[in-house]
Amino acid sequence: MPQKIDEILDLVLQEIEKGKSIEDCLKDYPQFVTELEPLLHLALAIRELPKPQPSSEAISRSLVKISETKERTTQLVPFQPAWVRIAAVILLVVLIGWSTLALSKSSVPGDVLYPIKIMSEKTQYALTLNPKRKALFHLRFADKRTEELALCLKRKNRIDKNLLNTMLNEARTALKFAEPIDRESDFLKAVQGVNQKQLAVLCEIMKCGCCREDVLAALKLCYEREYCIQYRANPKLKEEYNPYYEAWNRSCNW
Amino acid sequence: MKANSSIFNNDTSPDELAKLIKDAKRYRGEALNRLCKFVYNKIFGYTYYRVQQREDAEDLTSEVLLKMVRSLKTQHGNFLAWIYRIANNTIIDFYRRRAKRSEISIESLKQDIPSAEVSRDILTENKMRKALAHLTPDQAQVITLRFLQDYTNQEVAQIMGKTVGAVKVIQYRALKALKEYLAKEDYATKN
Repeated sequence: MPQKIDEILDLVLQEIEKGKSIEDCLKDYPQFVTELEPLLHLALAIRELPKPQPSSEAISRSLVKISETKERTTQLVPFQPAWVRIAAVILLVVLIGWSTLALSKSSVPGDVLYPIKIMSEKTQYALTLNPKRKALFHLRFADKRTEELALCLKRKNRIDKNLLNTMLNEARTALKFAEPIDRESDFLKAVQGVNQKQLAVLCEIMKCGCCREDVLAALKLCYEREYCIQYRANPKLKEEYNPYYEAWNRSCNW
Repeated sequence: MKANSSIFNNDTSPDELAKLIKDAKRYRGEALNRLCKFVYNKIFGYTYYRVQQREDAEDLTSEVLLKMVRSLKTQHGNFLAWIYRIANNTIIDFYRRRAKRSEISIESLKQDIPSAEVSRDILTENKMRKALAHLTPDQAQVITLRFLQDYTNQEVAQIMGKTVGAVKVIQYRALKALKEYLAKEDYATKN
């Protein structure tokens, strides 16, 4: 049996709904009769109030207003099935991703979009299994880092040591993946192209007055590589004295 | 909620109502018209005792329906709880606007008081309206839903987003407050 008065009131109301009289219901709760009886009479009186019926004119007026609103809303927001909305969201995501990638292509170390550029390169690389294609990727990365080095010099007038090392390492890794290299191959010509580009950028850096030790070492390495590539392309050169050959072998694991 | 609950009277079963809402959300003319008529009856009955004039109740019901049509597409969850919440907020806004405009003048209140020739029912209706206006919004909502619209405690709890226990407490306090107000009014009238 409930003890709280609000619960007793509710219970008695339910009994009355079932057809019991107020007096019968309150017999079980003599201590609450004084308080509950007038409340129950009031509740019954409220229930007996007439249920209002809306006028048909008012409903018609309302429906006319709604019909106007409905037309406006339908014109403004036409119904779109779920697949259209999903396709729109996918398209939007692809567009945002594509434009971010496009914008990140011209970024250099220190830029906000640079990590996205590197991440995209790493993803492409990870999806490649063929060693020859991996070698091409490393060569392309070496080329990109060379361009970034030139851009850094132009935009920020400073040389990033990590970028310089990465540029040289990518070229070396490219050669490592490409072994054995045919001396007539286009790959060797491509390596030579990238190496000459690196040489040109390093010379440009030197001209700007940046004669740091690491830049000088990089320049020396690129000259050694150039000589070695030439030897690869033409083995007769081995007969001549080659002071750089040993060093090159050590540095690039050829 | 009971299968043939009083919520779904007006000859509309829960399944029919769910289908009606789904079709109306796609702005299918006939479905939206039927839903509007169904909601009109419900909300008019709800607003009728919460404001002083029948015209106000009609205007508010119309306003609730317009709001419903505008945001029907984004509606989720219990439809009736949603529509009654809109109705309750519209009534609160109505009183707020009136308070700002200070429209509740002594003259307007005098007009609401029926003359001796008016039937006993209308007198009770107006007394009820004034008494409800003196309750808190929650108390007025519980009295209207429980005793004027015949919803069960569970249904009222769903509509108001409260527990059944809380509804019982509000119901008791509301009836007590009403009794005290009406007693004071009767005393004032007699003296």
